[in-house]
Amino acid sequence: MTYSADISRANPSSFLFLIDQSGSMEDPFGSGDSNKRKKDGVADAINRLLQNLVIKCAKQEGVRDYYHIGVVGYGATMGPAFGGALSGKELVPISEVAVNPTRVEERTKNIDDGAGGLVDQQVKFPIWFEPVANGGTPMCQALTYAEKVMKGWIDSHPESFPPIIINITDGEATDGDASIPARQLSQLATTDGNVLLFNIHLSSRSGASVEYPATDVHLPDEFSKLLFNMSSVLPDHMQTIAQQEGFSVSPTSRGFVFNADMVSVIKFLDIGTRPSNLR
Amino acid sequence: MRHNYSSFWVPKRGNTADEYEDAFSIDIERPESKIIKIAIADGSSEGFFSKIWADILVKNFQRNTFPDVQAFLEHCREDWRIWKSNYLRERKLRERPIQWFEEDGIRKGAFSTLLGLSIYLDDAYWEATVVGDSCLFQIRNGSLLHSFPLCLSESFDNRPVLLSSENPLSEEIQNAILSSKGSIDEGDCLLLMTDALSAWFLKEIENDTDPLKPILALDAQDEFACFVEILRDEKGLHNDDVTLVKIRGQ
Repeated sequence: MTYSADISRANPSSFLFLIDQSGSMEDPFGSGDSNKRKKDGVADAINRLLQNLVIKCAKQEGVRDYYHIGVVGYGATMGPAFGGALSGKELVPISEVAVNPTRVEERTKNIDDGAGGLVDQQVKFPIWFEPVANGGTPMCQALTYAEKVMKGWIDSHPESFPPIIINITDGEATDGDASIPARQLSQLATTDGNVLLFNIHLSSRSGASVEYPATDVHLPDEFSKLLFNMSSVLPDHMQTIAQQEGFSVSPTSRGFVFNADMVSVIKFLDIGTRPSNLR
Repeated sequence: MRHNYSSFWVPKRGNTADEYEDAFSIDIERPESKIIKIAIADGSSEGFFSKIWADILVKNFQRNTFPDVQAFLEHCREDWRIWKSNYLRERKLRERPIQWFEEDGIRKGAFSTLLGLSIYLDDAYWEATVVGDSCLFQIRNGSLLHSFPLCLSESFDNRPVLLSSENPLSEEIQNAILSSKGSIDEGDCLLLMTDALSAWFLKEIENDTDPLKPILALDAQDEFACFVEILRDEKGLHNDDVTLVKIRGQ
């Protein structure tokens, strides 16, 4: 059975995020919030994904290294995008990500009070990435680079739960047909299954957000259709948890969202018992 | 009728003994004992201080004189609040402030199953109450007589409703509290297991592969650790903390 390997510190898995930092990310984000630019959407998406992934692996007084994490930026330049102490590193244990945000903001958040209501609470919000928009969109180059990084990682972790690559972009590659390197990347595999390539499409087009669709018929343009077709089908256990979390998914649903975040995918990860009444 | 009690536990592969998050407690049976209370709890891997909460649950079950579940849980939560406030004070003293990634887990607290078993010695019957997927199996004449609360290996998933250290007793949890009882004959054996071993046990029975003989033959903790390692390697036992309590009538 595929996608069933235990994820543990002895047998970790890996996440690689690819973030579009091209000049077109300066354009407004199409979700109706005209003040928000796509580059803000990308920064927010990657920071929230990292935050939730770290929290998923946190135990009292530390973070367990269930994942190795990398972030690749592509725009005017392409390569590892972490700053500070993690600068230039391709993949780092998640505990190092946890203790190396560039800053930590205080934000007010509506939090479940455990009795069906909400309360305002001050929470810390770590920032690793600031909004960047500059240059072209060398997505093909980034996907080819991801293939190289993941091939090396898989060689040293051949029996692990397959790496997950999340590409956050407006979809407009300027260096060719991204589906070709995407296919090569998706063909990499551990003994537990193929690499999973998921895509977050942040578009200037308005319209309803779409999460984990099974078909591209309702997607608004060629870029979203391309990204949908590049995306891996959600493995069975992720579909099951997605359904439990209230998402409408089918056996052909893909790891793709349009003008939406993908923080929910962190909940689909299985690193042990998750109480169904843990919100 | 008097009983023999034995307990066995192994942490998840790759974890240390300190990271084992199940808990169990067993009364000492004395000549004057009328009721024996035994409990196991499985602290969830997502959640903070799950071991502490699992310990609080089994210990409170053992000294339980509470009129109902609500009162029982209130008492457990009071113990939890005291422990947590001591812990937070101690972190300050150690100059180890709460990190951003700990805030969410500390706010949401711990979650655990609880399976509590009471054996009424004079009247020769048992009563059990459970929240979650820890299981009780009653064996009579070498066969499975009773399986509670789950009867099929496919019923186990990684998403049970569990007792929370922080949230009030919701309708969801109230609906998840299940009870059962049965008589005890001489020579009966009662087995309490956390989920991974329970799922394996039921699967073996479904496959007509007798799991009772090796379980009943287990005698020492070392032997159990080896047994679990073999099951993990050869029988697909899910990598999780594993706890087994055996009670045999004499």
